[in-house]
Amino acid sequence: MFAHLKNSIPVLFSVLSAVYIAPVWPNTSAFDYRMNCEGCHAVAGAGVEPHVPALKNNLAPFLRTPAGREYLIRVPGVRQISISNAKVADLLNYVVFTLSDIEETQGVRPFSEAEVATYRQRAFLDVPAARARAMDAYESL
Amino acid sequence: MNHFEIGRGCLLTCIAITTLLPTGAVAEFKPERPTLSKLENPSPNWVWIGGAGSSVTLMDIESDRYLAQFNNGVSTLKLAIPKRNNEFYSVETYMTRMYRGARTDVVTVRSKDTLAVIDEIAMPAKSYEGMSILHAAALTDDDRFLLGFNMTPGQSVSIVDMHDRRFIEELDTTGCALVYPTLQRRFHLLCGDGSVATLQLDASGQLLTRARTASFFNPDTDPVMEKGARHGDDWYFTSFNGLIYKVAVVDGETQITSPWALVSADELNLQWKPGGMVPLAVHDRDNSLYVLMHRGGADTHKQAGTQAWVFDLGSNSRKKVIRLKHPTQSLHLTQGKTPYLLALSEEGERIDVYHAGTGEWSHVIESFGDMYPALFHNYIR
Ligand code: HEC
Repeated sequence: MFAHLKNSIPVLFSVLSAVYIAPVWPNTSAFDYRMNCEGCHAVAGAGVEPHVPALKNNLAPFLRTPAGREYLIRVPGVRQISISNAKVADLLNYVVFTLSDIEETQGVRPFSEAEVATYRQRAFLDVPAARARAMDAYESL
Repeated sequence: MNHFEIGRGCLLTCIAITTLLPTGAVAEFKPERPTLSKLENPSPNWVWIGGAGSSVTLMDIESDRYLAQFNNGVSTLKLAIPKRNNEFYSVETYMTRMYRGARTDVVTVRSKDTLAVIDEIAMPAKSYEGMSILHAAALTDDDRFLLGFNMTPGQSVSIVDMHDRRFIEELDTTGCALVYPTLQRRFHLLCGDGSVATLQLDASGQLLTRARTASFFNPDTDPVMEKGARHGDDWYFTSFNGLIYKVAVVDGETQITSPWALVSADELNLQWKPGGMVPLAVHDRDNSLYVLMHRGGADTHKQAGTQAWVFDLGSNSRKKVIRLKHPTQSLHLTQGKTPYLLALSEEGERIDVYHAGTGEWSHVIESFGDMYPALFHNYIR
């Protein structure tokens, strides 16, 4: 009886390994948002005030000036994630154009891989100072 | 009738006994006065034990003697022990309704020999809470400034002046975490892009310089654990796969030396890896690095260790393997003439004590207070 069982273990193992399929991770920005951002910025970019800023309908000041766009690419939560520049550009476009209402983003140029590559290389040394610079640029538009 | 007789007999005897008492058969009762005993003649083998849960216990490791205990609020242990004076600091969180209500964070200053609270310094209610880790608070090397790591999850460091007893400023750390102090009021932080940031304070606690190295590890392929060990002015870190990096300040600049491997090719094949809650410990005078090792696949960096491997930090070669009696989550070393290696078991219920030099098992400590232990600090720094 045990000899019988012993023989069936390799069989069982090969059946299991044949059935096991490596997970295919969705190749979408919605998935990247869920994996990399949602834990802090909450579902649909609602934010957790006062500690984590909302992303939904909150980014307008940063979309129309170079300093603002640089800020969105270099903020640590975006810059330090482990996905390619092209996917970061897609993710930012998802955050900006899908999560926010259309009035917020009218006339805004989408992010490109090249733009992300330009800014993403270097880290900020002081995030609040960079944010203040971006806000200044927006106010003097 | 009979009953009455017996009762009367007893009555007489009892009266006889009670009348004898005040005449000196029993010594006079002297009420004891409560006294405050001091912790005296501290030994290098006195160790604070804490983690999650609110009690922090002081034990004499050598004699398995319970010495003292204090309460640190609803926080994980964030202890900072100065080298020079007779007090010590703990970053603590309190809430008006225990785990809810208004939150206040303070640095509590206690006397080292009575544990009495001497002072309390308010700081922003942002201090790190999470897995117990040794690097959530520290002092600058001159003992002057306390560095309290904050995570809200926005990351920053609160600077508290322990001499003037006041909170000075909060410094943004731009996606870099924890505090690893080194010489001249500098401290390092580990960053999510695989680099190290180094901040330096001036004599008044203001930010003097801020720098960031290039990425030296790849967080996707072989991340570095945030649990470091200090030796002299250098910090040692291990990657998941057992590459050891040294972070040093050379001519004012932070440098990371190219890593060396803990494991040989054969050991790598056998899946030997570092891991645990506190996987690294340094013996200062002995120049050795103790690493908690286990066998396991990918992402087992928190798995309990079964052996402690001891490396010579001059030659980066292994000099000893200590087979641990129980799966171990945290290692610690005392630094006196008879140093001990402490191995806290996976479930936190026992501390096996080994002679650090020989690796020989000495004894077990099984009673050390009510908490989820994870971290050790030497009473004497
Ligand atoms: C660990 C928590 C955390 C994660 C994960 C995170 N963020 Fe953030 N994010 C923050 C915090 C905190 C801030 C405020 C600035 C700071 O302290 O970095 C912020 C700021 C931002 C800002 C600037 C908003 C403003 O008003 O200043 C943007 C844009 C942003 N995050 C996008 C993202 C995106 C996109 C992701 C996912 C790729 C992400 N973040 C992941 C915590 C996080």
